[in-house]
Amino acid sequence: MNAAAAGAGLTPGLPLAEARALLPGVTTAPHEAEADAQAIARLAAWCGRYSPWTAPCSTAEGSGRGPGGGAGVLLDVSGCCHLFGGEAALLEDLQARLTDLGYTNRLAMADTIGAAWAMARFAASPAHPCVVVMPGSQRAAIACLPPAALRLPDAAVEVMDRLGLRRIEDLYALSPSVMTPRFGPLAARRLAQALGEEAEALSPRRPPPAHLLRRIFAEPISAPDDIARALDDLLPRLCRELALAGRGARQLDFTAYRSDGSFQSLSVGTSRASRDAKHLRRLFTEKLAQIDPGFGIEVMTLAAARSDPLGARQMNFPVPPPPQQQPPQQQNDAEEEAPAPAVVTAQPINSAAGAEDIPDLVDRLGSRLGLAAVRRPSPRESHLPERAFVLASVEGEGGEEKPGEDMQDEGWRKTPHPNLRPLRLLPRPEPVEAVSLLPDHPPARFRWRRMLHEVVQAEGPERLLGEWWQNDSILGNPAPNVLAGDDPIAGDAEPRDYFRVEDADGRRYWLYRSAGQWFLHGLFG
Amino acid sequence: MAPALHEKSRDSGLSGTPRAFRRPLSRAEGRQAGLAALRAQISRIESAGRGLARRPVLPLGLSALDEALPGGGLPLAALHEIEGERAEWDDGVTLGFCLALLARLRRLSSDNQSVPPKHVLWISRWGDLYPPALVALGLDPGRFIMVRAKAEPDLLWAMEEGLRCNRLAAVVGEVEGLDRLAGRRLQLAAEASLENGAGVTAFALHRRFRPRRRGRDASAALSRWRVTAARSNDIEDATFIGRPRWRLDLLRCRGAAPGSWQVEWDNAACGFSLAPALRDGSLATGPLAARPRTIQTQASAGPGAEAELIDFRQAV
Repeated sequence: MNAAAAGAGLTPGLPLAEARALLPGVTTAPHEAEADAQAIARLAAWCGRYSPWTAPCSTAEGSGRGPGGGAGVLLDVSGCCHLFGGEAALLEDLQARLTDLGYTNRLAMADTIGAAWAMARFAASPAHPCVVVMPGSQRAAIACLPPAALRLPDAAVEVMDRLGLRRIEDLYALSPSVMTPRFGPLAARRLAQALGEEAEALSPRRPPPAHLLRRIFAEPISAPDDIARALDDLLPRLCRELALAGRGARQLDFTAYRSDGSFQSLSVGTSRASRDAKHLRRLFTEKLAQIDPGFGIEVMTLAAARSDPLGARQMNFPVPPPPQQQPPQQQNDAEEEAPAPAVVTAQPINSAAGAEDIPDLVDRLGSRLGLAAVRRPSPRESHLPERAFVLASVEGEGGEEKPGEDMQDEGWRKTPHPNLRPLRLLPRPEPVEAVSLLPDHPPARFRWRRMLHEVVQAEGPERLLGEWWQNDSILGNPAPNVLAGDDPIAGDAEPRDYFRVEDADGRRYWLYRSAGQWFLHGLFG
Repeated sequence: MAPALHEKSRDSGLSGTPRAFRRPLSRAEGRQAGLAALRAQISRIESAGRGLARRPVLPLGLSALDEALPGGGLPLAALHEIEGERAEWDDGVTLGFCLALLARLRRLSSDNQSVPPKHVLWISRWGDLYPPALVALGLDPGRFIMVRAKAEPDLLWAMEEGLRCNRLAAVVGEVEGLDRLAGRRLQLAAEASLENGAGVTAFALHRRFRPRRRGRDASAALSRWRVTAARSNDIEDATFIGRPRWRLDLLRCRGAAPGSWQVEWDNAACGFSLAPALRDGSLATGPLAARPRTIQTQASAGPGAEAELIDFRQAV
């Protein structure tokens, strides 16, 4: 229905005969719900230029008639607005582009889905197609709108109309227990959602994986060997497809659809884009046993759920080993020599036949232990021992490293007093009973884990204060850390006086006193 | 076949005798020469077809230790076990020794500039290694890949996977126990790593106290060390703590006799030195210290250790 028809008084739902009577020259076309849904999905995908989180909002929602009838697209633009110069600017940009595309459009932005839906359909007008509801003011903004703006079924709106509830603000006074028996359970929920009292999630349009291969079996299969063979068949094909597209997989989903209609999915992630079939196959090795064939598997799909651009790579040229520096395995036949001390022969990496990169190893470890369990320490500027490092992911570490370079991360050089730091740092300091002869002196003896240690040598104190520039006092609340437990230490922000002590057996400990209480924090070598 | 013969030659305890002694051969020494020839033959048989004829070694930089080890240093591409005396309290000490070995390994490979520095795979269930302290030993914490395993089988699996990656210098696993089968698997994987690379060395750090029993000592690892802390306060005017001092017991090592040494580790020099208690021959602790061989070896390294120690005291 176009603007001319609306001007002549036609409304959706009008019988065709009446429409012909009102406007004799009307041309009609059959309604294609399917095509509409596809068009709106395409529009939602197009809106991905503003936010990755977009979803088509179907025409079935709300009443079919009146201003609430049009289909729409929902965008979650949290954190995206500044890229377009603010909320209003984003809406104006979107409005201009939609108009160029030939769409009649109404736009609204609000804190909640419900409020934005209502404002776009009932508050925006052809003169002011863009409405921005200030944060937190949706209650006032939708107060004057009719109840139909709440995405309610026609029946509920009709009942409200009969009861004289013409505006949403009339509903504010009603409690859910009053509303539910009369208007159905949806009414109270929609109102709460529009006001932001109840959370509502946007279920985003998920793009189908660009690279997906399917294998359909003539007979359902169930033997583990057959499953492995199907994977061996799919994986090289997928890798060829990725190679053509110039991409490498970051995550692969292997899904088995069983004959009883259920399915099971295996997923492996890689720490860097890869399309090496052999490597990817190894990642699945650990997991294939988890597939439960049930009554048999009919269809299998293998999809690159996530992929990154990966250009063609130069294969390494085999470097011929220099004559005086032969790899050890080539000297087997020299058996007349007695086994003499051999210096470690340095081999060029390229010449190693089965050269395997660190990321490949990380992937294999990660496929069984989880990629979060494989970490690389990274320095952090802090004088507090438990905050002096973080465990970062090993991702993105390539094979291109300068030979001989050590301590590539400058931060490690700045580590304060590495000589005075323990080799093992307990996940949390353990309280010990300690006796010191004088106040502010190191302990003379202490008991840790049921054993009494006589201190014969001590060094200190080294006083460490909390990081005053942090909001919460860190001494009382250490940073969450994957290696160290992330429970906060009980205690306050008292400074710690650290001592290195050696007991009568020669073991060395790192003790500190904080607020009169002694703790053991680390072990030295 | 070979291992049985091998055990016998080890039990005689005569390997590793310094070659400095040149006297007419007594009967015992004649026997010893014969045994040495036999041992050489056995090691040739053992290494046949596995490319181990020239196994790379890591010189520890202390002649007393290096002479006692087969091939003049700690064999690389092999499994070594390190345990403490009382696991819970000696975790720091065993770790210190292991890191000292890694630091030596790092120094050995850094002499060769054409090879990019390799990584170390550190697998633990506890995760209490403190990376910033590695800087003191000259190790780059950024080259450590820390793996947190949830269970012992995962840990052993990860160690074995690591041994297949020739971009690693070493794999360290903090194990609770290492049964014969697991040890054998790791040892074979470490040996196989020589085939396409410089070899990956595996260290198993024992973190649980195990009662000392003869029957359980059988293991496929190439060597087993026990590290015990030793007091370092015998310098009278020392007011604060200097270098760590350990007693190293080589409990067993394929191709070498057990031994016991008291050593000091110096971070700055990245090397071991004999502790002064050994210098004057007063070491009487330790179960294996009474062997005559240790007394002989200490004599050979006397003056150097003395000079180093005096330097240290002045620096303090």
